[in-house]
Amino acid sequence: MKNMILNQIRSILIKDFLIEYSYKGRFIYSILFIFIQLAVFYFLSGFLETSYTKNNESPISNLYGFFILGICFLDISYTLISYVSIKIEEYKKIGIFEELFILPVHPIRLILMSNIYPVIFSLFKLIIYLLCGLLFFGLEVDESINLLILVFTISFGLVTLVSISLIASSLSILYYSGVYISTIHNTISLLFGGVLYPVSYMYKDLFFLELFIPLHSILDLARYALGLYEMNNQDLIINIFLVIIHSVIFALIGFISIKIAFKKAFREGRISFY
Amino acid sequence: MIHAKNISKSFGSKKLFSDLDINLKKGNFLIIHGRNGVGKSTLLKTLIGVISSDSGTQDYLSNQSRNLSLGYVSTNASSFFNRLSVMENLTFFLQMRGFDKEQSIKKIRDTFKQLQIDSSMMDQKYMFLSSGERKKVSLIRCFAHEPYVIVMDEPLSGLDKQFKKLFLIYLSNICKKNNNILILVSHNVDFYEGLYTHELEMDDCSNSEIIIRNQLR
Repeated sequence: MKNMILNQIRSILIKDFLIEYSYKGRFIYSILFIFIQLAVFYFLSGFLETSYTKNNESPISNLYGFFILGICFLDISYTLISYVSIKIEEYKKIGIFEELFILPVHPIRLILMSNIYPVIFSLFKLIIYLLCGLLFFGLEVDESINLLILVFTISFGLVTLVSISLIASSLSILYYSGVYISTIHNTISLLFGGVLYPVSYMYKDLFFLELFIPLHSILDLARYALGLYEMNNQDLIINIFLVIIHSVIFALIGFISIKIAFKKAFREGRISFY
Repeated sequence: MIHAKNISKSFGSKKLFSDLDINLKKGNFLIIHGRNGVGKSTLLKTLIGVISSDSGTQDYLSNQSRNLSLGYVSTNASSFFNRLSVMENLTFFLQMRGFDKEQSIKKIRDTFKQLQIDSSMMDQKYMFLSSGERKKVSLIRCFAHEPYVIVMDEPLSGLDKQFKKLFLIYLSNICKKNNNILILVSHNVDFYEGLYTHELEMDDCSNSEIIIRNQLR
């Protein structure tokens, strides 16, 4: 059984990789786009640096690093949340979705396995962002990187984002409209999640929103771990707590929604192709 | 064995079939026919588990391991990954069933040979195949893992006469050899004359009944 699961994971990974690799232009552009973003924010942060450094109370120690991590995690969020739901919509249209469910694999496990490629691709993107930033754009990170916090944040962050992708997948299975979840998630995160500016610069009345935006705590902790953002112990503990809570809550919602979606889809024939 | 009791299915106000009993044992071949839109494909999909029935029980379906022994050909001949080659596509489906890469390749090559399909097709991208070639790839996917239960929905539509004849011989031989359970939807019942043991004419949900042909293969 264990061998069979490993075999299935490997098959899905190879299949996803071969499909992505067949779109060479798209793959190259996605890497090139990282360079473009790094360059744009390099100049933008240089332009804005003066006004930020004037404020001694600013928790940002490196504006470029702050931006880069923000756009990197936003990019990763989009990939993770939308990848499987886009595939589901595509596979439903050509009829292959039905064929996947007559294979000896539980439907939910199949969806979870399909998330492995986007997780690996996202980690690859994260490394590219950081490496390019360090090598070509003079990104400075603190020498004493808190690896433990970084690994913790990335791990729980991945759980949260994959769980949101399960919600998106549920909507794709039922209504062909799961991709909107990633758009909504990224828009809210961009506005209130501290992606490009700290939440403390936001309208004070909307401050409570950060509690509901998983990317906010993930970003705060990742920036702290890389020495790009200062945080006192109390804020650190609150953020760690929020990252755990978000991952648990979203995992529960994601799991329940995909279970309901499959039940409804099998009953109403939405898996099938006619 | 397939044992479905009192299964019913309707979509909204449209009742497709109700209180249908299907009992098939080793070596049984059920042919299903009837007018368009009567629910033949839905019945097949219900039996293989991609649509759940509104009521009734299905012993065979409740078993998760069933899919290991199931071969299925749908009416849709495009249900493959367009960007992959025929071999990559077929290997994926076999590996998902637990075969390793070498076993999968061997089984695929053997099935190509048995069905006398041009093996040069294996390296072609699926998106460049004609509709007839796509149908043949569907048949290879169905038979390559040597399924015990074979479920096919109009498997020969769009295929040439010569291949149809060859396929019939292949089907007959394989069923004799393995004692498979076969369920097939076709408008061309005469074509399978002498092969099927059970017949289901779906006309109206209330009067569908299985006629058992006392034919031995």
